[in-house]
Amino acid sequence: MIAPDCDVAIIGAGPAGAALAIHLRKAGRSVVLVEKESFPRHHIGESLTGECVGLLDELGMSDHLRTAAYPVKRGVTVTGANSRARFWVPVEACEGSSRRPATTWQVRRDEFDAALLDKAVAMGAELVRGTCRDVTRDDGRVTGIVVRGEAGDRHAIASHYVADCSGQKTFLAGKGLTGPKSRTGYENQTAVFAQVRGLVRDPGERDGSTHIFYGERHHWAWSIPLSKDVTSLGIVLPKGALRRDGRDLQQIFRDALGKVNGELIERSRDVELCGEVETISNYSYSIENFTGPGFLCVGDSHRFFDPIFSFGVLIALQEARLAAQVIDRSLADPAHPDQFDGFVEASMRAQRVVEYVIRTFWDYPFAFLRLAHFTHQSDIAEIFSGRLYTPEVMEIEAVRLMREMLHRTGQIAA
Amino acid sequence: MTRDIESVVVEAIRKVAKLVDRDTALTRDTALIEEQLLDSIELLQLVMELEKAYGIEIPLEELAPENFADIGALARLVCRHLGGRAPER
Repeated sequence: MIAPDCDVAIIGAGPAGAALAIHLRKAGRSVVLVEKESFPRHHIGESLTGECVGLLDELGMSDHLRTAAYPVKRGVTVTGANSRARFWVPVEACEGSSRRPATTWQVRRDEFDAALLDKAVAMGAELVRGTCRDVTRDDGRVTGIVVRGEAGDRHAIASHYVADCSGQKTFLAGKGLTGPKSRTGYENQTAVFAQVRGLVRDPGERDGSTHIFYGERHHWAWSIPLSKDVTSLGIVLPKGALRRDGRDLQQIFRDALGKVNGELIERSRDVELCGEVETISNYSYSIENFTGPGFLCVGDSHRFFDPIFSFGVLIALQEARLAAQVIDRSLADPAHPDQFDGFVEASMRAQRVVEYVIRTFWDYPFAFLRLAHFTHQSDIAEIFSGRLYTPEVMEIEAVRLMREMLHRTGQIAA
Repeated sequence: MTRDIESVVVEAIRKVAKLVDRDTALTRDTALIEEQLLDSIELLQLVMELEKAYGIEIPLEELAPENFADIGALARLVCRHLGGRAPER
């Protein structure tokens, strides 16, 4: 075997890849990060959950978060078809069994992702600008990647481990290394979104909060403040509701705004677009066997469910942290490579909880409202904060109630 | 049996629903959701009143629009959880 160029080759330098690189560098491992785009670059998915704060502190990002003037997020308002069907889920910090109000941020992803990548490079990760084209294999084991550089040159990078952090591109799944990519029930949704001015946000100190509006099943919209006056506004509808019919994207966006929720219509009367309207379809999937000999997939590269509760960056950061631990352990013990079970278990457990929450929200809105507004407010706050990665998450009473209900109704296996 | 429950439902509706006053006629067939007599929050308050009154617990999956459609549906929902006695129609 040729001596590897690095311990870990990471495909993609978004939050999952950059965070994984930082953790591995802290553990003294050598890292190559391959990224095809030049940062800063625009990306959707701006809202952080409460748990992100501690994770980002660990990554050395506290100064950036304090100085970047990102909107402060104190919680999430959820408004149903009738504007009185509204509940508020605060961001809370957890100290033992007591909780206190806390805050997190809404981040402009171009700035945030660039700062996280800068940190990874400052920590000694080697950044290679280029497109990952393939993996190298030896006797069923992944041994590195093949990169096409900006000048069109191709070169191989040999590594002990390859981490797929390519996000929705699902690079390793595309190479047939993982199990099949399956649909998870939200694949017929289309999102149309833009940055806008003039949207009426929540009053007072809730100005920086996320607001989710929903109407009929699977019809919803997000409002995520990005600065004092600019808000990310997106509408998600079943695909049929967004047929083009000769309209341009701006018109589709305007029309979609009228299709979700009366309160949103009121609040968006004076909205002005301040960027391109974009659209994404078919974004929901799940990939089995997302680790194997010499590789693992982190974050969106193996699973993307429904983005409604803003778990994207949280999942990327949590999985990066766990992946770094299992890679470090495996590198320290060459006789027992690929000790990935802990990572797979924690990831799947968290994803199951996210699935319970989202299925309950859409299929049993009254049940969700009862838990979130009346009987289990602090449990729902704990889940929304993203404390999903310990075995104890299954013991949270609201999680148990949702799991048992979905089991009784046949929507999930026991 | 459901007739008795229906009167308890009516009483509970008068307690929780802001838009319902003494002059609002409430019968077995009054469409609660369609007529927007109660919003989602009030419907859940109503369910909780009934759970308390009868010492029952409605499973989460039965908190469904078809069980709240009208007063008769709510009375039948309560009745089903009172030890399986058949509702009187």
